[in-house]
Amino acid sequence: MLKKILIANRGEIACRVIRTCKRLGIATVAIYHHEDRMAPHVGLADIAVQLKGDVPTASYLDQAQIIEICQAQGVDGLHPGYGFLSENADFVEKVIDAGIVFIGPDAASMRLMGDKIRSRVFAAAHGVPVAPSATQDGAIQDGDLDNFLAKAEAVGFPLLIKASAGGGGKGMKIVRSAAELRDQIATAASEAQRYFGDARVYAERLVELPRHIEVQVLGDGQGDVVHLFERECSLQRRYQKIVEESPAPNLPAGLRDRICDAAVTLAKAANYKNAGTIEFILGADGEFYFLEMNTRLQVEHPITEMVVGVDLVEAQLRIAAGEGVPFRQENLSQTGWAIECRINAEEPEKDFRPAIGRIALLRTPSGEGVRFDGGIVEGQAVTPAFDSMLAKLIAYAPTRHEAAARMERALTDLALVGVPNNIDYLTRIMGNAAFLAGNLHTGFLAQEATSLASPEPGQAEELAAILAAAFLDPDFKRIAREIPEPHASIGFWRN
Amino acid sequence: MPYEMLLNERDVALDIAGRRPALQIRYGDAIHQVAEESAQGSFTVTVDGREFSGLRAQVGDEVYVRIGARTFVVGLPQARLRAQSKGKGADELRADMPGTVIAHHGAAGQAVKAGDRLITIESMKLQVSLVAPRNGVIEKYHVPAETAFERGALLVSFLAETLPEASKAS
Repeated sequence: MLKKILIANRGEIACRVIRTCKRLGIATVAIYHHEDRMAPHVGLADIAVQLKGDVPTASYLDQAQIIEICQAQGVDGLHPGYGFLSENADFVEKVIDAGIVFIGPDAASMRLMGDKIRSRVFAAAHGVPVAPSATQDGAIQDGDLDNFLAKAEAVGFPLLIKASAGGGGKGMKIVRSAAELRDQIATAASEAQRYFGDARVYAERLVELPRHIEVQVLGDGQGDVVHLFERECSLQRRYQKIVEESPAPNLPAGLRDRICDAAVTLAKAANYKNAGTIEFILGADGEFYFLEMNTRLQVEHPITEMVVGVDLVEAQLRIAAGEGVPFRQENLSQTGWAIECRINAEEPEKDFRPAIGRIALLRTPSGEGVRFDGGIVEGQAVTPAFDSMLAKLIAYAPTRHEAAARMERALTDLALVGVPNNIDYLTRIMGNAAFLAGNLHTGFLAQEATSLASPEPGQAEELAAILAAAFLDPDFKRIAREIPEPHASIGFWRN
Repeated sequence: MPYEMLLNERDVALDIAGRRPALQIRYGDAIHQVAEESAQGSFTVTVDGREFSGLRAQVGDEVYVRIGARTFVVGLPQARLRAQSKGKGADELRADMPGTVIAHHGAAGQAVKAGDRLITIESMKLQVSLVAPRNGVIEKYHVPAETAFERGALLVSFLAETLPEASKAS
């Protein structure tokens, strides 16, 4: 087993990885930018090293500096978490060249799966379904636009144009008729160039209001691959997930098996090593298509841990240490239901605009079946320097309805004040009739916008809130309580 | 004389209608009988016999109040005054809390766009950059680098906008 690892990340995922390391007796090194010096991962790790550099995100992306710290600290492994350098194949090579174990896949599978066109071709070649497209690889070659346009008619509309290097909805275009195809391809290519420095785009049939189902896999890099079942990740806003659950509701058992088998086929074909996630879109007609593979631990990994009863970070560490996949497929099963809510600093009422502030009060829920994965403390500033996700709340129960009810209570008990956030919005999702019916798709939150809007408070509740605040003001308190008549009738006198 | 506050950025006003036998507050068109109890961040406010319990936390002159699954942001009277002066003064950048100027990122006479970094300050041991509230031209930096300032201090001012809309740079 590894003896000492560096976690090249921050926030909740750094804390999450450190927790498992502590349990396994592995020493941990945290890195942090000056702006994060109060953050919990700094105190949790055995050693914390401050990164040089003015710009916080740039510091966490500074490959040379991070490898230098690894060497100075004598670590034998590096865990990248998610985001930052976790899917950077060049970094993986540098880490390995420095004699350090990268706790994740190898650079080759990262490159293969990180390129949407290449991974699509690879999936199709191994019999994993991909959405229909005009050309075999879906790509639109330079100078071949006329040919593509001609064939696009045959595939049928609507079409979805995507960037090969894309993600997060950037550079994506929906084309509903042949007339707009040429212009939209040009726009998508220029956006792809701007966002990703790679103008390659591809087009495939758009699946309307699909579900987003993903499968967790673990591989040893030598062809041994197991899946840890699926996660339903259809509740998204701005192409970003906010609620995930496992199992996926209303998924026929046969279909679940076919999706999980497809994921295993793909991971085996790629000789995939360590933890990865294969994402699929599932149409209302029950057809599913390969979307992409994420070559890292996912944000939403805890719901799989709850339902399958494993520690995925431990599995990652064991595989990285050469112990192989610690489970056999026949011993893995799903028990109960888990839901995860991402607690974000954002304003749902203002189109989910990211918010900033200072965490003035933090009360986290606990109790049976409730897990809070956070990397925040009271008094901490939430600045625009980093991602808006502050923490994750996970609820586990025997059934979906019980898990939703448990989550609703846990969200009500979670107080994070001082920074605008989506806790109230998430609470309303958990009580929403359409959500409880389990008929989910990626357009769900937009479709249910009205039923998920905050109802206007009654006048009594409004007054209660105002008074709760006013009584903290010594001026108000004095006037309301202490000053006897006739002075009180002078009103709110102040110096 | 009403006690004027902000509720989720909206102007609201309370008035005391009486104190005996219980506190009576005029809010909107009605008079309500109210009571308040508190303990360590949590509170119970009773309005006409209905109890509302929750958590609250004060940040500067704003109070975050959470009742059930709803969070209210209540601005105390000072916050309301601050918001009013802010509304008028897109020509000024003022400090929300006391601190020290770390660096200027522009100079008098320089044209900037909304969102451009103007100045870095340190408050409560945290460095933050303040950005231009609108497109415009910097008139003056009012606090030199490495100098402390008080809350509300004028940090950067803008030349008043005089250009007609059509001639503005797009």
